Amino acid sequence: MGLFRRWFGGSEGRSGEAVTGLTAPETLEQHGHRSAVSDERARSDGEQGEDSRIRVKVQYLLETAINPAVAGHGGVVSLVDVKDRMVYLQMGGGCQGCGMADVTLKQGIETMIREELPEVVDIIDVTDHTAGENPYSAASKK
Amino acid sequence: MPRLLLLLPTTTYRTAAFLGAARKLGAEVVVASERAHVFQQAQPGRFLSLDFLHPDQATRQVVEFAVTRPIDAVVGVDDATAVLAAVLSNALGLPHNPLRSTVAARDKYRMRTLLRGNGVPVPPYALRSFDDNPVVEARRTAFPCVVKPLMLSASRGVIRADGEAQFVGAVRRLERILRTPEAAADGEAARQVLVEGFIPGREVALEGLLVKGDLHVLALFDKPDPLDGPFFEETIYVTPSRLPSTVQAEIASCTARAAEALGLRDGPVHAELRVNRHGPWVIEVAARSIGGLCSRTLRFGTGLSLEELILRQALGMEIPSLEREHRAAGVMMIPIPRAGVLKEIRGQTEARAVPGIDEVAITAHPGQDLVPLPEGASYPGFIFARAESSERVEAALREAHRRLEFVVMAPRKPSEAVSP
Repeated sequence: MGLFRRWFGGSEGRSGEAVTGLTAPETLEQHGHRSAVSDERARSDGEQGEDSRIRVKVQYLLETAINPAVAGHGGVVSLVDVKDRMVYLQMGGGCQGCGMADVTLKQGIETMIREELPEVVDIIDVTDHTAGENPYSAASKK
Repeated sequence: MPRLLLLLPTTTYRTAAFLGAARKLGAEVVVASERAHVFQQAQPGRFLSLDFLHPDQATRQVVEFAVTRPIDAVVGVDDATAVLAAVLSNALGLPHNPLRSTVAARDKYRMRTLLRGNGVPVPPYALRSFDDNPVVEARRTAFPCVVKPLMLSASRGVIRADGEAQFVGAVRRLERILRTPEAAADGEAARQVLVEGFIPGREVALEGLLVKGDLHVLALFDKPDPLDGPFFEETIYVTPSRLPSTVQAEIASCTARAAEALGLRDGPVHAELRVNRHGPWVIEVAARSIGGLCSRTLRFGTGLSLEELILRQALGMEIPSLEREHRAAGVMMIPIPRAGVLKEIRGQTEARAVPGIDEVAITAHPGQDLVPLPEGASYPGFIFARAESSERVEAALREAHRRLEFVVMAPRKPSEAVSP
């Protein structure tokens, strides 16, 4: 979990709490606070259990690191699903239709997720970018 | 893993293509844009914000960055960043085109002066200033003529004039365009206008890759819609060209001489030429690849993209093939139907169902101001087709476009204008 030190400085638990009031997912899991959805999946076979674990961690990253950052441009990123270690994300607000959405996804979000969860096979953007009504940056022919 | 510095303006269409190519090549990418990215603080090794208008400052930043994270190649994706890429590569000791060449390729007046001086056919031209009285200038201008900004691209600000009154109107209209903050950033160039003779004939675009001074033609596109003005909205590009092979060879030779005259030696070139009974005339030679999403028409060898070729060359990797696929391919840059606020584009499913259509990529968003040429700076989207012949590609593009229905509301009043 060196990632959290790099992003926020200081110890992981402290910095995580400072940002959102949450604690790291491992701590939540240790105390039996997993979501109903993840509990159901954890009861199934190992692969689904792994997807469930990825889901919890990605959700945590979204809440503590990714969404606070993209909020600066009016954006928001939601976890749609995790299946077979593929993470499906949806971008909204200023990210939807933004000319830099690919940069945000591949350089930013994907890097963060892969550093924390190297077992993730791929990160898929399922956003309908053509429906974005207020993209932060729009492409133009310069 | 090689590290690539990609110069990506936040408004470029080219982001996804270059990032995708870099990923396929296994390169680590550092994205440099003119505005700080939201993840820049969290991941300082992957982002840089550079002032593209101040190369000295940008150079200091990049050189400092490269002390701890060495950079193997710098690649720009448009006219402005092609110049900065040369500046930065020079500072980092990386191979690059001469700076004066990239500057000349960006400035229509300098370009024409170098081309004419080296015997490359260009339209007759003259440089005028907005400080000159256009009424007086009109009297000493031969018609028909075309007024152009020195640095904008994709036909923005380009207006044909067939007489003195039209000339005065065109110059004043261009001056207003160049007063916008984005265009005015070009400094003195935004106070000048190029006036050149209108060359009748067909227009083509050549996509090429220069390797140690040799031009490799990657694709020659016909532009089947007439471009006779008063504005020059680009619509359909189809390759292979249907021009006779001898004419195609002349076009390639003319482009190669133009690149040599400018001093360009390596990297992509995108050239626009007019062709008539006198032969080819060079209109533009840019030290960059084709704009918009148009590169999606091109595949090479076993499926390489144009961007992969460009990055492979920049990173010193082997290029397995420069041969384009055998099928005909084309793109339509969807024309702006009329000025207004886009509400929706209907008929996309029907357009995609046209045989030969690969993709209908809508890039405009609901609520976007649609601004036609010569002021406009974006397309509603792109249609892509592949087929066994150029004729079928062109027909598919036209049919798909016919099936699209644009719902456009009245233009906003100035008091309702939204910032871009």
